[in-house]
Amino acid sequence: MSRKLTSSSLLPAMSRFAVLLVIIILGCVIDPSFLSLRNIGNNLANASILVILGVGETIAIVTNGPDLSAGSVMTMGGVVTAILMKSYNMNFAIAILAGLLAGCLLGALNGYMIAYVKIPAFISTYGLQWAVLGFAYVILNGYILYSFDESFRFIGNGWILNFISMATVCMLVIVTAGILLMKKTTFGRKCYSVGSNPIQAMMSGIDSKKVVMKAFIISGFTSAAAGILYVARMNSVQSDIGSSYLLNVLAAVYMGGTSAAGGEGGILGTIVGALAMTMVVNCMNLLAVPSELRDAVIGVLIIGTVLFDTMLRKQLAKRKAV
Amino acid sequence: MENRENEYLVDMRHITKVFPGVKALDDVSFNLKPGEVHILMGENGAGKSTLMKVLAGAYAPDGGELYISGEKITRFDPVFLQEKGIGIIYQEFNLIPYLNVAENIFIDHMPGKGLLIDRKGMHAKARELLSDMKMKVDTHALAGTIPVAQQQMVEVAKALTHDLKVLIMDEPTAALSGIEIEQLFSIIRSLKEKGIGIIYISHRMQEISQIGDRITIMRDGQYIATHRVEEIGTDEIVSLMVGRKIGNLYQRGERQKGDTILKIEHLCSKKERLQDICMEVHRGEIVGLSGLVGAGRTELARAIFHVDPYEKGTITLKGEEIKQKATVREMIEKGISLIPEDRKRQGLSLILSVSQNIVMASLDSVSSRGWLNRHKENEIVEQYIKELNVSTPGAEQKVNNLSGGNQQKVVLAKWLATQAEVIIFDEPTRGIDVGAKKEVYSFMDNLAKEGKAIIMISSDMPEVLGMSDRIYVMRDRRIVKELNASQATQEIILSYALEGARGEEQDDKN
Repeated sequence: MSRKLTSSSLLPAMSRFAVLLVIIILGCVIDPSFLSLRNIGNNLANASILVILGVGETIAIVTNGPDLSAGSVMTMGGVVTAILMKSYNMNFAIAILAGLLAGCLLGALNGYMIAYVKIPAFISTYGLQWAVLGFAYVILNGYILYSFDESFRFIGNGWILNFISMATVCMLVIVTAGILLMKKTTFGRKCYSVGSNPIQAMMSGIDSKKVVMKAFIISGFTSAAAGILYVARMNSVQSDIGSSYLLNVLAAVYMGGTSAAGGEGGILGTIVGALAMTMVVNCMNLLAVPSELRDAVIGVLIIGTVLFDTMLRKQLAKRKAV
Repeated sequence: MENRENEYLVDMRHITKVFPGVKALDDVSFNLKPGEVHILMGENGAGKSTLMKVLAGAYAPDGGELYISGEKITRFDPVFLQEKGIGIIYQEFNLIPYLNVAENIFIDHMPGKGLLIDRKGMHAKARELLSDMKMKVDTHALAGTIPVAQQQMVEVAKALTHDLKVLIMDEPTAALSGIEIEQLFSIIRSLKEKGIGIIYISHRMQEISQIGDRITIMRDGQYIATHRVEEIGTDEIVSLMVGRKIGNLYQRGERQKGDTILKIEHLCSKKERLQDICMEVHRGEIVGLSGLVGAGRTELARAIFHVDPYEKGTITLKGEEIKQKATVREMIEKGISLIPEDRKRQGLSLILSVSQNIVMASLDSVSSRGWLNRHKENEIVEQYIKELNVSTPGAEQKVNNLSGGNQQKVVLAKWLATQAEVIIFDEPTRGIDVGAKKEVYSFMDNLAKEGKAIIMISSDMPEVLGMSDRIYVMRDRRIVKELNASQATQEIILSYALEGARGEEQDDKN
């Protein structure tokens, strides 16, 4: 009986790992060096921004609803850090802290609008997305900031081992913290409680306003962190860096099995989703797939993964019924 | 098609309806003549609403026959029966709050003008219908913004847009005040004159003689009796409604009544209209809270648990006065549990595991400084799974996959895990099978024996009588009577729970 149980509870994760495995095999067929340490390291480094964004996004979706401002908050985190370093000559560590703080404040604003003013997450974060984007334009005034300190850029581009980059280290730290938070703390438990049934949570004495508030602050934090890492990697920042990331991070989260209805899913699935997307891009690079086709491939990947999972679940339900 | 005498508008014969595990209707016959008001009475769960849903086509019966104006009906679907002239106004209104009055009235067949809706014509017709009923309602007002009484009239008007022969009204006066009830009655009388038959479900005794022609009483899904209204008295109706024997389902060990643990004095709330509630609960006793649906029992429980606010009065728990502004969390910490009525909506997160649900209200006791202690959690979860005999493949199973009875046990476990000393059960056995019921009863009895105080809200009279040491009866948002279990009978409880059934009670009111 216990075996049946494991298979049913691990199934969503398994079906996603299966998709990832297929992509890796495909990569190896295309290029035998796909599984070399260096290439794995590259893929991990390339996935780091998406994964970091995904940590906060997953927590927001599990608890309440999507944080559609993730892209703009990412931009703002990068812009604040960059400006403080470039225009005010601040130490990069302080600039990073300020960038992260900006992300937390924007997250708090989201949380306040959702939990206390009762504006649905979809609308309040979507509105903030535009407001912050506009603000970033104003701050940068159309300029592109580039060429930062060597020590700052090390965070994005440095390698400490042959296959472990600093970006991967940053990602691992945030991922570990996120997973611990969701799995091992009462806060994580409350997120699932509020997300799965807010009335039940209220009757259980859980202050869902506080929980939602914190969830969006975390999402703001990880978005800003992703933006800062982006600046460190690319050595430049402009006002639209986050725009393309929003849809990608939502895809990674939903592909990873987190339910849009809330209360179900987790960060591990999101990581698998983000890695799958990054590795598919790697494969397409190796195959020199024309850029016009790439979006279509990503689209097929997203729908395919979810379809595969749905079919597996149906099969399992059938077998259970027999 | 069989041609029968057209004496009856509706003739239901030997109707049977079975739901999984329950015979909701067992050989029930019922008929309705043109221009009469036929009152349908019975306790909660007697099968009135199910019978009416068969007539309205919402349920297909498993046995028996239905004739409408002599025509045998074989197709049970709501639209078809609406075409046959059956209109039903459910207890919960079905108006769409964001559409206006005219749109609601013509919701299922808006008058057209080519491809477009003929708005002018629609409003004109709606106004005409409403003024026929002597109602002044702005047809442009949004349905959600008009008073409840007017909403009800809109429901009636909506039914009248079809060729109406029969109108079913399920507790239409539950939310109405005196004048509004009078208005409704005058509309009913004018419908009668048109030859429309009315089936009227109500719990209010005094309405029977005011508006009824005949009365049919149901109990436990069975037909009991039909009488002309002038031939039958209130006492007889009550005893026909009840008339049931209590089996040995209920457990009652040696309970030691201890000191007062919870005391409520003069509690009033604006939002839920609770009025001057005074009650006392002792350690080691089970206190029944009886009354009809809507009497204010759940609302009182929610006020005690601080889910809903109250403005006046004091709650004293273990000698300590509770602040009005206390939160649910604080109430749990002080030792009160409220096991809610609607377990799927309020008691559980169905997509989470048995384990996660069980510790949901006592996260503090399985964690330190915010970090969960899985070892402790598993210990507590295993303990309650064993103690309550929850049948589940494992603690990590989703609650969704358990049966109703086992889900209810998970809810109980969740609220026992908080180490509560005062436990409020709201309809603890609703929708679970007899076996699970018995387990819940013996569990409640054990808790009382351990010295915990239990408040049990229940609409199931035998359950209240079988389990309680004392019984408070509520009506119209106030406590109207306190009874000792030894002096209580179903008749006595029901007579207090119903309005104006006894002279003595009229005095209480004044």
